Amino acid sequence: MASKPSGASWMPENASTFTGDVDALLDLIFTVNAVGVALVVVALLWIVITWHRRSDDEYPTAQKLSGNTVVGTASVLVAGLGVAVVGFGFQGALDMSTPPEGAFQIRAEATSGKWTFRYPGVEAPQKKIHVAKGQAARILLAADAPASLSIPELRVKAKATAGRYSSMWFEATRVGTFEVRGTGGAVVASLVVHAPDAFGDQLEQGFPAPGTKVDPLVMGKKLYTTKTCNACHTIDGTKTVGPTFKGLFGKMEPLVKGGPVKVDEAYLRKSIKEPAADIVKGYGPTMPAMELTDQQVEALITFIKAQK
Amino acid sequence: MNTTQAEHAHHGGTPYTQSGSQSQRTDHKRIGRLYLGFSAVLFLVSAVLSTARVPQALHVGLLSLAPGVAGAFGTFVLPLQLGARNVAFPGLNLWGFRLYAVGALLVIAGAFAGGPILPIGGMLVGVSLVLMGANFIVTIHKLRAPGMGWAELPHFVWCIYASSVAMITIVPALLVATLAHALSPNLFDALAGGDAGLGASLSVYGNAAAVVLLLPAFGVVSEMVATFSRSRLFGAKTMAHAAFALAIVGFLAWGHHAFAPGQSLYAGTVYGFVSVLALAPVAAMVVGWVMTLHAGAIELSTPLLYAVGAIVLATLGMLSGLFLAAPASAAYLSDTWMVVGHFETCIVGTSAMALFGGAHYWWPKIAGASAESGVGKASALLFLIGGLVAMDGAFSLGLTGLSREALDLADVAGPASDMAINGLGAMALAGALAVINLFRSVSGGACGANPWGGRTVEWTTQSPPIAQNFNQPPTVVEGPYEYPAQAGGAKVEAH
Repeated sequence: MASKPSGASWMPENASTFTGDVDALLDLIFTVNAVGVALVVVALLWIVITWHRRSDDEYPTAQKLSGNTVVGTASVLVAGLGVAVVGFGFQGALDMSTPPEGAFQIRAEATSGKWTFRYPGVEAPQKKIHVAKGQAARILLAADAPASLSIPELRVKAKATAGRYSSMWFEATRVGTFEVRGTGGAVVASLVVHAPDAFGDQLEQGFPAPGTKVDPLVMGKKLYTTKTCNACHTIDGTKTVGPTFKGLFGKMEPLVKGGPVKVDEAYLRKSIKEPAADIVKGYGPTMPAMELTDQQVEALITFIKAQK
Repeated sequence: MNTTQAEHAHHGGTPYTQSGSQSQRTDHKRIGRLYLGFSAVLFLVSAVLSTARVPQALHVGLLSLAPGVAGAFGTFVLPLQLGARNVAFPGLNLWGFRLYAVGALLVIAGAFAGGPILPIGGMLVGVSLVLMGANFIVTIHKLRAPGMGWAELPHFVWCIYASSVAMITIVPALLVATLAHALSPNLFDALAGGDAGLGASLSVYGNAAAVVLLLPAFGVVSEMVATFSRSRLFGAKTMAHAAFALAIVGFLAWGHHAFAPGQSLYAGTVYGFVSVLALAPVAAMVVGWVMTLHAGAIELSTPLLYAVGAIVLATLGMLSGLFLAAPASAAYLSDTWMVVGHFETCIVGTSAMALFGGAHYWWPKIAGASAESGVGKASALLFLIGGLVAMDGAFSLGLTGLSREALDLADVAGPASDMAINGLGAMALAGALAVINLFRSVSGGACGANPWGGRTVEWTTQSPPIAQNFNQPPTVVEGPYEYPAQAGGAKVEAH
């Protein structure tokens, strides 16, 4: 286990907003254990040393009271302490079971103990859990047999069984990769916490493996459907709401505001970012402006260029 | 409340004068020795298997402790402490042992071979526990010596009583569940129309099992603490109440083990609060034992060292339960090695210390010899140290989130797993030392009727007791731990 930057040294690294609450509770219970056992051990040692019998004829030195009240009071006090500890941890438990509205939803499915994860807008099931730092994520678990998921560094754990959904949520506080353990404690997946600004791209691209160079053509093809370009622009030459992408690149097009323009990278970039700026004659100003990163725009241009 | 002598003779079954092969075979002393021997052998086999990292070691170990203290000392000591000739139903007692022995062997075979043998064996063990509990309850009600009212009952008898109530109420529910599951394998399979939550609820009987294990062990500790400090048990009445309180809370609190999929936070919290109520009776016991020793005349004998170790482990067992009772930490720690540390080390450790300590304490009655020796004391200390080290290792593993299903610690490198393994090894070695010490003492010659100066009824008869236990039915005239202000004086008078 990696050493963690703060808090109790016996706990794994902390990487979620829960670690503070859970570790504080664990510290409290640990202290109660240590102090309680130390008290009993010290009392036993002191008593055994002080009242050690030296001869067979020795009898107790003090006439003892009936201890029923003492024993009863002590037991009520100890149980009261226990109730206080459980009460202390209740707010944390309440927080852990109540995901905030708008949490990012991930569906986790276990088949014969193998976990896969599904994300909104990503078709293929993934083998890793991807979340953004600082954004609440909720994992909905389903399984065909009892199976569990735990992320020790985030202090979260949930069990699923056939026929019942269960869920957990957390907000990761550190960018990085963390072990996800399943039934039996084996590492079954990993949790990748992305920087918040990088997460959107990652989700868009279906979480490519880190270091993989994204093929702009593949990305552009994907964006063509996910950003619903395909609703108005065909790639087979059919003219619909907007011009077809087939053979578009390099063409000379007349504009509504007058004069022809050559469809090159600069024109495409401007038309994607500001659709109303240079409308081709015969079409209306119907295309909405979209929030796209530069990388996405370049990918779309590559895709359009490829439609010859 | 006292049983008159006439009733006693009537309900006692075998008259004091009668003997014969049938009554010898059903003699509680013989069956108690069988239980003790069987438990000790299973414990040693379990220790050897754990050292060899065989996962089935856990089954064997639990089976050695399941009837363990109740089977061995309940059967052997209880009638002697009550001044009775035998248990209320001697034949049932013998059949109970046979069912347990066959059932335990089937469970072990099933653990290795798989198949339906395991649940069948488990059901036989369960039936034997129910028979045992019923037998003890009737024995305590009907066969107490004249003069022994409820106020004169030794604490061991109270604990056996409370544990018996748990046995006859909890075990049948588990039996029905096991049987239903055996007849309808899809019962807990949601994909086949069953209910997995039901299976999770029924299979987590940890607390109920803990009560059946712990209560008789607590009773043994009380006897040893009172005898070796020559003191009346401090707060004896409250401690008797605590025994029943623990049985009731253990019955209610099983749900906190679940934190099952889909269990609501509120159910979890209610279980959490109910679970911590179990702190009260255990705290009552610990405070009672410590205060009994306080200002006593303490003899540092082998059994007392075992008792002191059991007190320390019981304290840890009690307080470490908090980790698993508070929902926020339980959500993270459920099913981790924290559970192993809490249950297997503290609770099983406490009852194993009571089993070996009790064997040393009652060895004069069981084998007619005193096993008091340096080896015995060393085994007690080694057992405690091993227990603490193993527990510390298991807790550390639990806090890192290691699942309890990762039983093969060889795969888990690091100081914590080394501690857990070496601690268990030390406990096994201590148990082996204790067994060697006990058997070595048998050739050492006879000991007196009452080598410890105990005040309960079993110490008034020979070591080992004659076939009919007492020459004359004893009559009790005062409480169980009334040590005189000076040496001498007797609590029990023979008629």
